[in-house]
Amino acid sequence: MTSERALLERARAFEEEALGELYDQYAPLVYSYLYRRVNDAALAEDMTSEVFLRMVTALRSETEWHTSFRAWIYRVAHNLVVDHYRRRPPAPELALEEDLMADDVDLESALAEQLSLQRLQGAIRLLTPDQQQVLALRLGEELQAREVAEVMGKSIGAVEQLQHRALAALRRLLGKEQA
Amino acid sequence: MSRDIRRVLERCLRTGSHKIDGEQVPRRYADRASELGTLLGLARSVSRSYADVPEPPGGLEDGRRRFLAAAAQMREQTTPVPSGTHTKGTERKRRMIKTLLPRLAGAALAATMATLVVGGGVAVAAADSLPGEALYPVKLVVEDVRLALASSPEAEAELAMELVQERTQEMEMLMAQGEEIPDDVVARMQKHLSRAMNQAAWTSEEEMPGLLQRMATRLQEQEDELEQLKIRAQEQQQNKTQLQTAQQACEQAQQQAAEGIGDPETFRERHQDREGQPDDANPPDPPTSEPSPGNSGQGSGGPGGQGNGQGSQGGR
Repeated sequence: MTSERALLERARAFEEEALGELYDQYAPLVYSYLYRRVNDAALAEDMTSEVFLRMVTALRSETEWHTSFRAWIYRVAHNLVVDHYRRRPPAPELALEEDLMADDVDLESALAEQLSLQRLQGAIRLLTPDQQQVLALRLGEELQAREVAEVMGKSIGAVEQLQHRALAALRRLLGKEQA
Repeated sequence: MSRDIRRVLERCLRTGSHKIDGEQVPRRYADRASELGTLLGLARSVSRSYADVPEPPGGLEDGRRRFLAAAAQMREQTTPVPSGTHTKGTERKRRMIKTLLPRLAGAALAATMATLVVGGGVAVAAADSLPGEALYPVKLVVEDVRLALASSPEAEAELAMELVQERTQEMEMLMAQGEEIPDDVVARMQKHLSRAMNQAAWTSEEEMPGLLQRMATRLQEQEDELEQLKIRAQEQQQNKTQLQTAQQACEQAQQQAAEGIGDPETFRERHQDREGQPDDANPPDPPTSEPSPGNSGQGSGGPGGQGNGQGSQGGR
């Protein structure tokens, strides 16, 4: 039995040391992911805490992970983000979009300048929630496509399509469409 | 073409091409270097932008304390279990086994026979098989077993939706090989859709909106995929009828899911049937907004899916 599997078995038995170890290992990753999705450090920290409280609830009701713990914990976080935006949809940023679209930037030179962080983050926020999720999980957390599919409850093909569409949409937002 | 670039992009991301400065596009994709290079450049910029995460204000310490305290409380509550009694979880499993046993018998026997006859690796190999191939019947049996073993109506509905996508992918693969799509594939997709709706109708009041929303989103994706395939079918002069039927089925199901979000009670009345009832002997609790001890805080489906979410919004 691998050390990870052994750790998870001990966590299932509510062993404090194992739970603490799991928290220390995964909480920073979950926090980073949540911050990238909600762009608010305090809220991301609160949501991280909620993710782990749900882990306790899941253990009690025997609905915890049955395969990959990593994919499972990201899925809990993903669901929290979905709930968060369902209650409070992100405000439309039409002004930013107009600004981005109106600005006649040459894409190649923009890339050469590494795109300003603020500009890029603004464009990412204009993507659909699913596209944002895929980019955050794939490029932020560096999960494999199959793991992202498991987290989001989609097929691998759908994930590949989402990441392609997300990057293509960023290209449109950040520069002139390449003919 | 867009599918090609999608696949090539995935391969490049998987191998980390976007992390390398300068030359990013592998030489074998030189014919798509321009578009691919742009997308990989953007992927690299996005990846770098994600590196900029501030330290958590509280250092995650408060969450750690709450987590361990909740676990300690749970540890005290769950041990020991007096003999002759059941926890909610074990009771649920017992009821499920009782209900599912007859449904499983045929499928399990077939799966066992398949495993014994052709070996354990066959089920894995069958996963990529297509209609008309020798292993395809095994694939369908495995799917039936997975559906029968789903742990809850919500999980079964999600799995049925996954199988709808699988049928679409089969249609795509068959078309790529220039073959005709058998009517059985479309009929099976329709069965999956019907099953997903039926199972969704048995979920709790808390689970249903999130589940239906996810189903509606996935169905929209299927419709888009099928629309693309229809364009290709127009060029190939075959499979148009099958794709049209499949797309209409997805469209109708999407409409039903959307209506269910707005009017759950009518959705239940329309889609619940006795055959799909999770437990004939023990009807499910009536929908309630009171979270049960076993699933409190669940909402968007899947693990941890819902949300009371209050703790995450509060007080900072």
